[in-house]
Amino acid sequence: MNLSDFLVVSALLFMIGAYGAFTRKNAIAVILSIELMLNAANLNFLSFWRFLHPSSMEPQIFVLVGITLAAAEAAVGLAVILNIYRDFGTINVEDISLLKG
Amino acid sequence: MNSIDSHLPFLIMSALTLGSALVVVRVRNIVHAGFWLLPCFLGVAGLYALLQAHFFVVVQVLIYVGAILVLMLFALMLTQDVMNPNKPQTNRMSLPIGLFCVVFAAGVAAILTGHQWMNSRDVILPANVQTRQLGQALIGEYALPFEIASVLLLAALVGAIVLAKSEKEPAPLPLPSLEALPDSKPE
Amino acid sequence: MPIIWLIPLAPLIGALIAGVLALTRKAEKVAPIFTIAATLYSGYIALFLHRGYASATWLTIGSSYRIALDVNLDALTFTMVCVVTLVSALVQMYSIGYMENENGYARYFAYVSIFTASMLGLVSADNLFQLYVCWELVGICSYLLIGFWWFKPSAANAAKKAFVVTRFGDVGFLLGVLLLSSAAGSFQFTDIAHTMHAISMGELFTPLVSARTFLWLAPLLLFCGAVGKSAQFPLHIWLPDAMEGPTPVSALIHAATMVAAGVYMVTRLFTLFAYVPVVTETVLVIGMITAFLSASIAIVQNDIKKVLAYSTISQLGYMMLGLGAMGTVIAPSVSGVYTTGQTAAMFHLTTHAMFKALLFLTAGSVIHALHHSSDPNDMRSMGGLMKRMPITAWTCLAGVLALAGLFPFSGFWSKDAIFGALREASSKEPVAMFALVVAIIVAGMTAFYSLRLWLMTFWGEPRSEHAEHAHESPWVMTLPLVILGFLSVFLGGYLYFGDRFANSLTGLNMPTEPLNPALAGISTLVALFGLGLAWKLYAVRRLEKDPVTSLPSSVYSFLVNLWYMDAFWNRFGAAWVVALGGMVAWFDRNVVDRIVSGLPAWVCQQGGLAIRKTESGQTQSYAVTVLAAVSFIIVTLLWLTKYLPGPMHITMITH
Repeated sequence: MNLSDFLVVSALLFMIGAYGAFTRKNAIAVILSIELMLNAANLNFLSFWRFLHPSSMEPQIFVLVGITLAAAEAAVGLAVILNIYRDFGTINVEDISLLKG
Repeated sequence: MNSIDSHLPFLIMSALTLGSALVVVRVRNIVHAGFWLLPCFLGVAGLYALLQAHFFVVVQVLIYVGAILVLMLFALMLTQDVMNPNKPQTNRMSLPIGLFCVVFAAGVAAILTGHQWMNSRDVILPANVQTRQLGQALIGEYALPFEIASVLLLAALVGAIVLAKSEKEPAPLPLPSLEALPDSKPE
Repeated sequence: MPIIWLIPLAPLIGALIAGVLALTRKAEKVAPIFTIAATLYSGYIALFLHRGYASATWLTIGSSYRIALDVNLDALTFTMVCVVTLVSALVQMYSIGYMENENGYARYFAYVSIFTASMLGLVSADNLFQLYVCWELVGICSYLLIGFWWFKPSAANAAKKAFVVTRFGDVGFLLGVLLLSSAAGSFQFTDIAHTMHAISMGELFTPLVSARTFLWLAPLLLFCGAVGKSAQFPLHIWLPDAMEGPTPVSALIHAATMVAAGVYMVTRLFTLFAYVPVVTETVLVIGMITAFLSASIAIVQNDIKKVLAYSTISQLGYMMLGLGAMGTVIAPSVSGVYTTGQTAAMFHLTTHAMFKALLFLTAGSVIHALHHSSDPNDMRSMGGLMKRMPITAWTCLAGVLALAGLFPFSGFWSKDAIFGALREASSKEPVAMFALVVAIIVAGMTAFYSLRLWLMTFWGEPRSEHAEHAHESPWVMTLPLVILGFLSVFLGGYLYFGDRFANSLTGLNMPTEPLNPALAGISTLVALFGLGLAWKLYAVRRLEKDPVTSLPSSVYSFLVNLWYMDAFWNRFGAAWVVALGGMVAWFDRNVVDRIVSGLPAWVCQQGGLAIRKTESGQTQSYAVTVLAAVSFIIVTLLWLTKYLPGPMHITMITH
């Protein structure tokens, strides 16, 4: 196993996440898919760190900040969704289209 | 390191991650999707372990599995009754997007595997040294990003609370008007 | 950074602090402390350094065109810095009392401090670019301060008028700056002076115009700026209206410093003016017309500030007279020509700054005392203020006598220096002899209207209830009056005896031209005649009716209507601008609008209808668009780097 193997896994995980984010109707499922994409990104960082720059600190810092971002995104995103649920009575993203031109 | 055996842990972890990720995005019951996220996150943690990023194995399990996933499940429990699991859970675009994703992932994978990576020969430090270095970097050279991340988390926390408690405040009780009061003339 | 930079920068910092304080309500009252301290600090640095030079490159255009910021503290600048900082500090101190209950207290001090900084930047410039920038900056400050009470329509209009009228001159000034700097390839004064010399020798080609034309056109274009800024005929009409601003502002900007910037500029660049006689003769004639015209108008004005405004214009005309009189050339060199007329003009600038600032501040003190009156500026409702406001009255008298040019007050020495320069010039320029006669007549008129002002204000019995109940101003206002009064009395003699003035201007050790006794005698007699006439008409008997109204009605109405200059500008200046504006507006409405609302509007509408469909409100479709765009970019990049068709291979910098 070498770098490209991990990168391929990461790319596949990312595309699976993207697929979910673009196709799921449930807003919470969209957030779940986004979490998959963020995990793919973290995996990417750590793979590069392990194989290319094992003695440098930056990739690890990036991953740490990335995880922080994921946590913040989940918290705020879910709060927004709960709010939407209270206002619209649904969390189907197709029904929430106030910006329709 | 060429035999299939040495690749076995990697293959198992990848299969676990990708397989459960696929289930997450395809399964109809949204609660099931939430629970399928658990093996997916654990698979990623396993991949971290293979990468010898020991600290992040623990972080992955603690934060993703322990915190984010539980949060997700809470939200799912609060809202699940509105999404009927018997109806399709994906929109009209799912087939073309799926095809596109497959093609794109294949292309990216082809490019990635075709490239000759110049692997570093540096030695991976043992877990205790690595973690100590990371900790020192966080309060030393990278103190600013660390602090910014903590401020971001605080902001997200406050924001989430404010958003989630948007229940209208009950209007303050109207003060009794002066006429309604019994006569009490100031002396 | 050399400390010399703080000469213009310190008031700027003071202005910033005052500007920040202006945002607060409570801390406003401390703003003057900072601005006054900054102004005094500038003056202190100048006194401490005495001479100095600092230059920094601001911009470099191409390989050699350098735009610099300079502080050139030479003899001339030193004089100007002293005048500006002294008057500015005193005026700001006075304003503490005068502006006490006004809204925008700190804003006022911020503006004044910006003005001080710009003025110091102007006088310390060593290149035309900085001179021009600061020239416009003081114009902006003047605009802001005239319109300080912007809610009064008259003030807003006066501010606009001042800005627009000076713009007429500034266009000429800008053209002159561009013409000179394009010929010299530099903005520095010395480079331009040498270029001018080379052109006069026929050693250099000139851009756009022939060398002969260049020699008179360039300085006259610069002089246009001075005509606008120093309110010379025919662009003097903005200055009387500028009296709408707060009175201390009139003292600082419209009497002592900014309006003198034109005189300073001509002095600074005098070496450019000295090549062709027609240039200096133009300066002389303009100064003569201005001096006479505005002195005659000042006689019939009833608004105390308007009298002083016309008087200022008239005195600026005197300074131009001095500049135009070539007189004896003291020190000829390529980069600096000094004539007796020039030193006399700067001498008069200095003394005039003191006594005219004093007169405006005393007028402000009177107005402050009468500010409940419906028209506190009207001298007809004053009178008898001497007993009620003794400090103001006596200092004002000192200013009046200095303005009248009575021996031994300041104005006498500087005015007679100008007369002396004119007399010397008359041997070379025939028009100077005529100008000398006019100047002496104007001196008589000046003495008359200045004493008339004083007598109508302070003498006799109060002519209104408000005048009866007037009180002396607080000490923050009277102390600057006393200081300026002292200077108005003694500064001229102090500079004259001991040859201080010409030396401090030129930096050379030259004796001052002695006064011509006959000339001094004539001018004193004329001044005494004017004073005596005013005394006879206004002081001896009780004032029922203003005696000047009994002038022949045609003369009186001619003067009251300001020589019909405003009407002239309205007819011939403003009218065609308005007509042109009407034509442009018609074209805009009927041609441009029709075209715009035709085809492009239709295209926009149809395009909008088409694009509208993409706004589905579906977040996921937006996200797919992003995905498609990103993949398009990736594929394009791969294709452009020619990796897509061949073996999949990316070169990355990896190690």
